[in-house]
Amino acid sequence: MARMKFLCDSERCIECNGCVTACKQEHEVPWGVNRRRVVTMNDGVAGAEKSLSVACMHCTDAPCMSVCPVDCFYTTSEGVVLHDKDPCIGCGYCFYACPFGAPQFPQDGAFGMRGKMDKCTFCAGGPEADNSAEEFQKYGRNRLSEGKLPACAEMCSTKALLGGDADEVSNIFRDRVMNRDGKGAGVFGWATAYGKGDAKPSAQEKVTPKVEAKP
Amino acid sequence: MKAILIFAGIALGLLVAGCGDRPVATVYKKGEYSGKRDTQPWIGEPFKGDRLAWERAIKARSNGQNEYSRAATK
Repeated sequence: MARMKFLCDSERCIECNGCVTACKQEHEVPWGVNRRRVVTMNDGVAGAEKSLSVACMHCTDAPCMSVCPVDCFYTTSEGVVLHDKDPCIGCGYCFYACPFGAPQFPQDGAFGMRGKMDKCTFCAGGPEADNSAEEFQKYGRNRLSEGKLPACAEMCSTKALLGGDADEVSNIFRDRVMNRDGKGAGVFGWATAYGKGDAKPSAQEKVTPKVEAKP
Repeated sequence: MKAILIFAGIALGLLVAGCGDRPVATVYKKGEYSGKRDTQPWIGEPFKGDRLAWERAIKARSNGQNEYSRAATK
């Protein structure tokens, strides 16, 4: 097993925010905290609009880990960058260091003080007993220990967002690039996944009555 | 005599003034993770320490994201 990685195919992402919703729902992330979000470039420009789903990229040489004054970050054997919320002081230095804006800070306390840092865990929980109530409350669900991949990637409808072992993700993406026909549904892989369809008329065509011109 | 004592006191003070100077250069220590230790994902209940079974499960899930291979097995 290599390292766990995310890959987002901008040719396929349709900005549906399904990944964001899946993450929020899976981990019961508090209001105002976005572990994952969809970034759109050239918004509204026909033909030039591209979207990308962005979260913690679980960097190999993570800048957040380098700058943390209390050294609360660690990398798991699968290459997932996690942190312990107990020593975290919520200073926000990791937020300045992260090129993806991944660290999030929930409002905590009566005066809206900045709480301890929260970020994407690659659905791998944190340094608490696996699948315990403490782990869920602090870090969210630990899907990796259940043999599952991150909820965002598994929920992605167009499979724009891929997650998992870096070698496997690379193979899938390579396969996709070699096979897609370069435009429209071919880029999305729709016909490959669901078949090219036969000559049957669509449902709309079936119900639409033919109107003949009257003299 | 008094003047000598005062002079000696001042001289002694000046002599030892530098002794309280501490090095101000920052010494960088290699960061050590300060939190709790985490367990491997295959240690827990569903896999009970069977790393290979866990890797197989993850690989199967990963390949499930590839519609080209899914379409080929139809």
